Amino acid sequence: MSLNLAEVFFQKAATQPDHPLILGPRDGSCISYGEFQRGVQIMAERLRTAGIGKGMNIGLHYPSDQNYITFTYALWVVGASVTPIPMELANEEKQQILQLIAIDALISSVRFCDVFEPFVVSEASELNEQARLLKVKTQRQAPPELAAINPAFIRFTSGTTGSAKGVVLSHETILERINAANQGLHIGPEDCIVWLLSMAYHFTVSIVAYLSFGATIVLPKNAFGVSLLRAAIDHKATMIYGAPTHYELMTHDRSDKSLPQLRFAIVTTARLSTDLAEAFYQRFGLALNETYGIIEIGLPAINIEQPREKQGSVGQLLPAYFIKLVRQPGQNTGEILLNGPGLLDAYYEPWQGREEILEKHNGWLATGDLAVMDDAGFLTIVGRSKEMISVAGMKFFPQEVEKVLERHPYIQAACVFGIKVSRLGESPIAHLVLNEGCNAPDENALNDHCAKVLASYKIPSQFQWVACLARTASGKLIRNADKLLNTDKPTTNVGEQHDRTTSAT
Amino acid sequence: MTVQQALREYLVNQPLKGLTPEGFDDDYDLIDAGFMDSLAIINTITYLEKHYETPIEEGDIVPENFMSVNSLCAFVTSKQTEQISS
Repeated sequence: MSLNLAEVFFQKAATQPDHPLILGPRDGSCISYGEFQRGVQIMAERLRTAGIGKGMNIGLHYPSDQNYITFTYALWVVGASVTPIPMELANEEKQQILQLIAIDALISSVRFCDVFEPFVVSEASELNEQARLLKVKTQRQAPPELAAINPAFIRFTSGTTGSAKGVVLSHETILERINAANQGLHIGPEDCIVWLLSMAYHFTVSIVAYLSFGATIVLPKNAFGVSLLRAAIDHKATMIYGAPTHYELMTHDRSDKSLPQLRFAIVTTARLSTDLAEAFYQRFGLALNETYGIIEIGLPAINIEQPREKQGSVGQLLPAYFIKLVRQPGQNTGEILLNGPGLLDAYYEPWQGREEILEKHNGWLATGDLAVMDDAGFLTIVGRSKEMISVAGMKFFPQEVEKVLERHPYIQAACVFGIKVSRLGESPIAHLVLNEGCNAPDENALNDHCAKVLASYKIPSQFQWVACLARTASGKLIRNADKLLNTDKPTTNVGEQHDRTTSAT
Repeated sequence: MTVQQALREYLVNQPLKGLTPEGFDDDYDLIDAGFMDSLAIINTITYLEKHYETPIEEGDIVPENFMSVNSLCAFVTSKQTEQISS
């Protein structure tokens, strides 16, 4: 019989039915392992009755709360897999997921069911007050190879060319990942973890780990620093799992409240700035634990041992993983190649199985990330060969924004790149070349054009008109912000500066 | 355009993407409805600083100031008054 992560949770729940699983977000709210298990079973029965079963793939379009976890586990109970559809995306982006990944039905927040109207084939059925099950017309066939895998998640990811590929993670793969991560984190029933991230992007080496190892999850009332801190203090949190933005909001607190029980303050999704690391340390006397996480392999490195002394490093590799840095002669920096447990099962479109992916690099996963490693094995990420932009931890490729901009009838070509800004970490900037004979549209018109099809965090904060785009000798776009923003090419800045730290021409 | 109108326009284009201007009133609880996540808080601070040329202090970033169109509006007005009197 195949492994099912819902069974792993049920086994844990049987050993500690009265142990709290979820605390908050309302004052005094507490769900035990036993209660949560019953909730999952009831929801699974509802789904079964509605015709959801083994081999189906269900889109999950719902806010990050207790119900999100219930739906995911209930879908696993009935043998279905889950494709998260992040609430933050623009409608067109959500619909694109349905076209690229074979989805049989959707669980959607009742407020936003309209997005999927063009695909719905029958009347919505009520799962609870806030959620509806929508049967949809499948837009494509699932790849035949999928049947041989025991998929838990089919995650949509955008590629560097703006085309999607999707990542398939089986129940077995996720279990391998959480066991590997726990060799460093040692999560157990005594842990109480403040959860701050979007569950559509973060679920496997976090929520699944907490439920499998018997920990308690704290859901704060809201994302304001004062509320995050209060949740951590009231529930004697031993861990916080968040993005730099959350820690920044917490450092705003000017009380003398401290976090004495905290074992780890995990930072994920984006690079941590030295200023923020220092500000958090000065305020709480705690060093933030930087991590290296990628969808293809999980969480292979965490700075557990020396977060203060080696700030900026994502730490040493966890014991289960192997690394190879591919360096050019005479250089310290190299591309990270990894191997170890929990490697993705496949890319969805075009289909590439794990073996095929690893074959390209003699059994290693090429991450596209650039790093240096010191003598003690501490890894510092120094760049991304994939040019991804991360706005407050929300990641995307510049190519998908360029594609949208180039659809504007007045724009001949676009180049999008990220610049470092104080609060958001990075902010996207667009360099645009105007079509001959056209008048440059203003910032509002460009914003409106992007807002129709892109999530708000992907919309450039500045649009600058340039005579031509910077390219390498071979014609590839240069997206190096330092070079681009110091260029003496003639530019017209149609956008006002969004952030005081930018120095656009 | 009044502060209220400008804020509503900003909200439906950013944190409340997916809602129509008619879909919520000025007392609609943005935090309770789940729209004010960390990204929305930071974006709203940036928006207010840019459009009203008023620096937001650390102590200002509390739920009471960001709860609804009305509370955001009251916050902007108080910051503007503060600036004039200083």
